[in-house]
Amino acid sequence: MLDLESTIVAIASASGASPRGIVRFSGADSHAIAFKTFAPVRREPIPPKPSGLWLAGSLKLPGWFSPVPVDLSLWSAPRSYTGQDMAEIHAPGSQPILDAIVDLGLTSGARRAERGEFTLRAFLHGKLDLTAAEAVHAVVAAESPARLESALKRLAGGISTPVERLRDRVLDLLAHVEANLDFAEEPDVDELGRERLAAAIDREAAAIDELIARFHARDRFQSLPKVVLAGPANAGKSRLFNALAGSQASALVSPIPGTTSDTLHAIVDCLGLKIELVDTAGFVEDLFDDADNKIASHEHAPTIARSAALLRDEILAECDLVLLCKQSLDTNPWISFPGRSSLLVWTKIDLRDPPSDPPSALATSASQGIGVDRLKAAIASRLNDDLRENDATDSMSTRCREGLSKASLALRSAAEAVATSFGDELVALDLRLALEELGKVVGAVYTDDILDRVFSRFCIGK
Amino acid sequence: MNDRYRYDVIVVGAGHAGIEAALASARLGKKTALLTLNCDSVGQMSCNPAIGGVAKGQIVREIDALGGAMGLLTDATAIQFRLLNRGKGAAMHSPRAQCDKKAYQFLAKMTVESQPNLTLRQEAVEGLMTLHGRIEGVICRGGVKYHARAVVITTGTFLQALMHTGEIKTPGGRAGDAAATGLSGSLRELGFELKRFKTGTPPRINGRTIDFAELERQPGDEDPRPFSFLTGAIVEPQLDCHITTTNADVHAIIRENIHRAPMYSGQIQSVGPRYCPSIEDKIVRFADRDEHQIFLEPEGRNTLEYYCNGISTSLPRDVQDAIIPLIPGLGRAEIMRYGYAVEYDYAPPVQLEPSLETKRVPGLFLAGQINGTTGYEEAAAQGLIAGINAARSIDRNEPLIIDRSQAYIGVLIDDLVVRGVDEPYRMFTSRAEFRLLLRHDNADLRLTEIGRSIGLVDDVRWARFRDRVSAIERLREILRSVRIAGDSLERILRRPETTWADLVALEPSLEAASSDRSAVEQVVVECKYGGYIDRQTRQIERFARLEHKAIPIDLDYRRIPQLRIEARDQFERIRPRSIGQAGRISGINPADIATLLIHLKQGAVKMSAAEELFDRRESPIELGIRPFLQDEPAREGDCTGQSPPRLLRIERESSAPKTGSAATAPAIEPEVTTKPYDPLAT
Repeated sequence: MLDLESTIVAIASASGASPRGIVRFSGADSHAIAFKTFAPVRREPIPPKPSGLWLAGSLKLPGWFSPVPVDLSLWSAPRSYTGQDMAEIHAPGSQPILDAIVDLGLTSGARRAERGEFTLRAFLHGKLDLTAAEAVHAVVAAESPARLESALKRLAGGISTPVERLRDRVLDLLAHVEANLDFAEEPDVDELGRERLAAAIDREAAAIDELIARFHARDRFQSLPKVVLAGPANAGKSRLFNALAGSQASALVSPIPGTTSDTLHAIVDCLGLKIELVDTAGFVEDLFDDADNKIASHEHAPTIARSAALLRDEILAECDLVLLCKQSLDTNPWISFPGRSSLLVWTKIDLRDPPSDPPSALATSASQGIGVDRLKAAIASRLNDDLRENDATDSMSTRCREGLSKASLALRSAAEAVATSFGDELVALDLRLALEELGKVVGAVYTDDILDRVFSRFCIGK
Repeated sequence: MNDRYRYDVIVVGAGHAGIEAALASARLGKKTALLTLNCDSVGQMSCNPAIGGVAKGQIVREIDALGGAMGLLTDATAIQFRLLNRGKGAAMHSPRAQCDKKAYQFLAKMTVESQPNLTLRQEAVEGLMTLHGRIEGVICRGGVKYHARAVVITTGTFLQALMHTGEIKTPGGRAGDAAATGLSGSLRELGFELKRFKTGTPPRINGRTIDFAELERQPGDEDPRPFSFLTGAIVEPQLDCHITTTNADVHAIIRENIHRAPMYSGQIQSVGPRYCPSIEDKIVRFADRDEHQIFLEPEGRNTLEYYCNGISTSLPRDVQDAIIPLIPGLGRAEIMRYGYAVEYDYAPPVQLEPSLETKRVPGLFLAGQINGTTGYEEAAAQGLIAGINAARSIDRNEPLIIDRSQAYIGVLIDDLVVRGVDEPYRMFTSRAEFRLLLRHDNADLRLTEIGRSIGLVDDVRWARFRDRVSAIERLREILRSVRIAGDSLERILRRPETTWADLVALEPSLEAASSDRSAVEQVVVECKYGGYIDRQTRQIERFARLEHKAIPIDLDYRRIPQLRIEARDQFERIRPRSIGQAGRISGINPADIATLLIHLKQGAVKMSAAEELFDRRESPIELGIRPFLQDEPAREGDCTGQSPPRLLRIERESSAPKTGSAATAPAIEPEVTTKPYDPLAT
């Protein structure tokens, strides 16, 4: 069982070399532990309950000859991130130093924080609503920059704020409807009027749909991870598709660039991980603005090629992994897709040995069957890594999306009730339902369902 | 000891709460005394002479369905019936009636007097007696002691009551009456917290001096609808109310004198109800309005006195004298009684169990305005439940607890004991999350079987109920089975535009089955609401899950260090019984509930011991209702001997042993027995 009152310690900054690293403490002994070896530059009295206090000084670490220059910041309960006493040591971002500081904390009575425990404590002290807590957790779990960005946006209220506002407006509507129900006899209560009410409800439903659309743009949630072959025309993508897909292969291959103008799909087993493999139309050279490899204009391309390119763009936008293919003969730079997980693949190495740079690129020859299994293994490994970090973000967005969809549905039903001249009490019923759902998104209403997710996400009571 | 002073149950105060409490207790076979400051003011309407209204009318129907008195008293003495919210859906329809104030009082007194087991006596109760922390009886003025095993206090606005008219302060709970002085001290000595509320009344006017010709007439309904399920037709001719308004001149005078209003001079500090503001409040808070409506309501058939609904005030007499003649129709009006505000002690109701028994003193129950509510209907509902539970406590039966999904009464009491009050509490339909099901038309279907099972519904009412249920069932059967062009009648009726008359035209056999008008209305409402009722029913299922996630009654909140201090204080004060209740406590945020749940989950192993305690304690087990199952045998006492599939059935748990140590008492998981009544289930 997790003791949520004991003092915990963990490195709070990203791993790897950086100018600054942070070691964070939370719990009643945080301040005392931090002061065990911290020597402030100026010997000033510390106020009894410091909050946001910054002290410059140095830290004597066991095994290190010279003191390490650090900053110490102190917060006191309940005015801290976790709601408990907290301390942060900001030190040079070297892993050995940070590890040594953590060790020091451990020998001084702190225990290593479990994954997400700072967030859990903050949540339990009412410092975060569930959406924020989940978002933080997603940040903790995120490793790729794209996911981190999405999680951070949520943490900053990316959805909380618009949903809060929406909820506020729906509450206003409900208040109006309720007033007319409970105070029908009061002359002071003004009737909103059915048209205005219907218009207002429609407006909010549209606002929700827009939020949902934003979600769709940001997240993908297919049952199978989608892996897309991309690269210049005639890079041998379709041949590789056939090799990977094996017996189901149906891609038409030819040496003429642009043979694949539609997309082809196949379910491929990569070491037990099933993926949806998609072949796309190749990038025809003159369609590109070379500078950043973006499609400049499709207007000049032949119609079929243009629509194929559009389709490819769509698929690329929602895929989980891009296999960037290039002939070993091709000396043009690799096409890149910022924010997409990708693998570099040399094709047709039977024609020429691929360059050794970059070393991560995989060498394949579909016609000779070279490197195909290794490519499958690389796909599986990369997807597994990505999926793991995806989990937190996805479960959060699934919950938000569910809530928003239900709220939207409820509002549509409310609008319908207004239109069919059902009683206002039925309109109110739907508005209440919508509010409940929006409340779940921003964490204003908690249900067992949400809590079950918390319990399963954070290590509690096991 | 003299038997005259020894009772099972003593009810203190004979207002609307006290009447229901005393009648219920006596009807449940308990020797009951009803003590009042004045036998002539039993069931007096201190404020406006009307019963019912939005949400309140539903409460009266519920009281009646359980076997209470208010509906019958109203039907017999009303002078004008109106069904409010007629333009809205059936769930919003709310009966309201103007009553003959004196006739109501006389009938209430007569009802109490003629009730076997019930003693009505004029006494001024000044203190409470306890023995080993349990209630023992009451002490009256002059030192007379009454002994009882349960005491219900329903003193309304009388505790330490102080009336204000302008600068003048007079002790008393109602114009012409004294205050109850000793009882507050006695309650404080027992450790109860008391606070002050304020409420007010308008001036009353002599109808001879009103120029009705100048006023808008507000007649009653042409087809007056009774409150009680026992009342047949209302045949008495009805009286009119009249409508007038304030105006800019009136407002100007009030503004000039606002500093003399006790609420604004600082003379009254207590909180009054926001939804029932005095005229001076209205003018200050809604400064942009230049008129406010006034309803002139007759106080009875044998009096010319009129109640000026809408200008409740505590302004000085000279200001009242000045404004009345400026109101259209009141140019030569004579004030008979001046308006006043009254401040009184109430006991914050979070000190109560859902049974309305105090947490602090077993055997002591509080009901009505002393719990911080307003309204005759709210008071009567509490009185009924307190009376029932006082009687049941004597037989060591589990208390009757009606939950939020069953009745407005359940919403009322749950709000009081869980959320507490920060202004005088009045019922609104928006307080009820399941209001589509809590309709006035089905109050009997929701509650009469419960009333029967506890012994409050007599044979006459029971037979009437069974007749109605079978009439409804016959209609449902026709609606389900008869098809026209492939569609069942039920389906056709569900269409918004179809009326019952349309349906009868389609299927003449309905004509004969339509003789019971209330049964027809019932099936029409059920059909029209159709899918929405299903939805509310599902909501109730979710609600019930949280309601039955029990929290041990003796949970030590100090041992949950993660709880915010405010949350811990609230939990310790209110001691919620379930996660559902905990979530409704004011100031509690979802993180607090999460923390509590985490703690309960962590302590799952230790919980069983706590649950034992929880069960062993005289814990109320919810009386649940659920659709009668067809394959179950008919209940004993069924009139027809058949088992109508729609009939509600009461499920109750056998009570766990009440003695024995925690170690030996069996742990009984409080089983979920509450299932919603679904009128459309097959």
